[in-house]
Amino acid sequence: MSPNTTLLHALSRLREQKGLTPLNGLDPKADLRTDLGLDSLDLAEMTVILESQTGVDVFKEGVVRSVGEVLERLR
Amino acid sequence: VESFSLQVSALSLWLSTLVARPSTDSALSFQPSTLDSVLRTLPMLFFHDPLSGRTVSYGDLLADLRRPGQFRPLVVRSDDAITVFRAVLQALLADGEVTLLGTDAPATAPEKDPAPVPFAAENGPRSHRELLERIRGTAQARLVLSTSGTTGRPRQVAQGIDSLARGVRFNESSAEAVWGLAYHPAHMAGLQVFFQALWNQQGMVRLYGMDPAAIENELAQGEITHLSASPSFYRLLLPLRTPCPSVRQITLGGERCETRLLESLRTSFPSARIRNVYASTEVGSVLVSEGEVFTVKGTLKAMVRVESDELQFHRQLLGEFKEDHEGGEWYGTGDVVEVLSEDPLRFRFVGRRDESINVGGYKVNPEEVASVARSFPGVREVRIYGQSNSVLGEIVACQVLPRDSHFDLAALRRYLAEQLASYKLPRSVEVVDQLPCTPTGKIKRL
Repeated sequence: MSPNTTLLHALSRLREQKGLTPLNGLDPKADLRTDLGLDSLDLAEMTVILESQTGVDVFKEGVVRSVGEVLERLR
Repeated sequence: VESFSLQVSALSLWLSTLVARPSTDSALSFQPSTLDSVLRTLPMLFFHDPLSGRTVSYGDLLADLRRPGQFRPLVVRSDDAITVFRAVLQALLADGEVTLLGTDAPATAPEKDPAPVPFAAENGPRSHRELLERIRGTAQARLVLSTSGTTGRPRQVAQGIDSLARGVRFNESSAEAVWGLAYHPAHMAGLQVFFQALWNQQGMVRLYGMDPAAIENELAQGEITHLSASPSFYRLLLPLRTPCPSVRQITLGGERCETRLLESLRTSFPSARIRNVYASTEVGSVLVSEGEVFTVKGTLKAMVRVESDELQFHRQLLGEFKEDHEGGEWYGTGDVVEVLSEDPLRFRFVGRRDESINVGGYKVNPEEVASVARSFPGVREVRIYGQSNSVLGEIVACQVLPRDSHFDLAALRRYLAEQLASYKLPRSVEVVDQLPCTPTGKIKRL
């Protein structure tokens, strides 16, 4: 799975868990909190999902705010 | 066949009165070899280990303690109950000290364990009664035990016979009881079962370190009448494929036990009386209740209190700690309780203070999360633990042991999300086929 698809699945799953609509695609400029509605607990879970699938802890080297920054860390 | 077995039991009864006589009775003075051969014929079961197939009778035990030229260990590292219990009896008879460690205990490097010391065979007791009298009279003897510790490093605590046997009851009527030993023999809870069995000359059958199917097989033999184990042990075992009416008494302790578990126990063990015991390595066995609510009665009233939701015991109830620890009159158990009434003090367990998971500054009680997860259909047992996380420091993680292969993990996740505040929600949930346990059968937290 490409980093794009992995992240899309993870974000959709987190949004569904909160009763939000799943995503159709990724906008690199989208802010994880303000645009996608995730809180710090969701971001913690996102790191767990991404790390289990890619081996990369996206928050390890500091905070990531946007979809694009997450994708950068994953590549 | 009946009259034959009657004769055999009459013979063994006669033998037991014979060997129970004091040594000053010159009319019945045996040569050691004759006495030992008589001891060997005492048929009462002391211990049976289904894994090794070994069976030891009380007669074997006494004869063994009288064998000349033997040594006694000062440190025991063993998972074998017969080895551990024998070393305990030798230490008590020699009025000495022995340190008990499971094989999982860390090595004491760079120092080596001390070598065994000679144990005089003439110290070996001639009868069960003499054994008990001698053990009860030991003032100096100490057993050094490790606290089981679901978290953190184990500590060592020395206990004398007074605190070890505090909760032990002398009960003639249950002489034919056979205990399922579900706890590791080198730990406080296992020793409680040992002393209870020893005091009443009852048998024990090994159940610790065995998988649920093998345990159920042993129970199905119908020999085991008494079971003492942690709630986790029962959760991993239940429900039984067929109810087991031969078990007459169930004892639980060491962890919170919820009403659902009590109901499940009643179904699988329809003839059992259920007791809930509060015991710890630090204080021994202290409180007993019929359900999940403990009532503090009698002389204990002045020695038990609850401060900021933590159960505390007066120092008088404690063993001696091997390491220094903060003084003070009261000892905090780290057990968080909910007080139901002040006088008499009635409470139930909520969880462990030092086990809370810190999720971005919010404290989560793993027992609360575990209790919700266990209420989901198809969950046999769960392990709730803190997993380090780069965003929040720690998150709640969950391992699930399902009842069968049709388990719906996604449905469990949805259920947890509905039931739990978002910081308490396990952010990592996985299905496993085995959960890591401590030697006393509690689920590990770390």
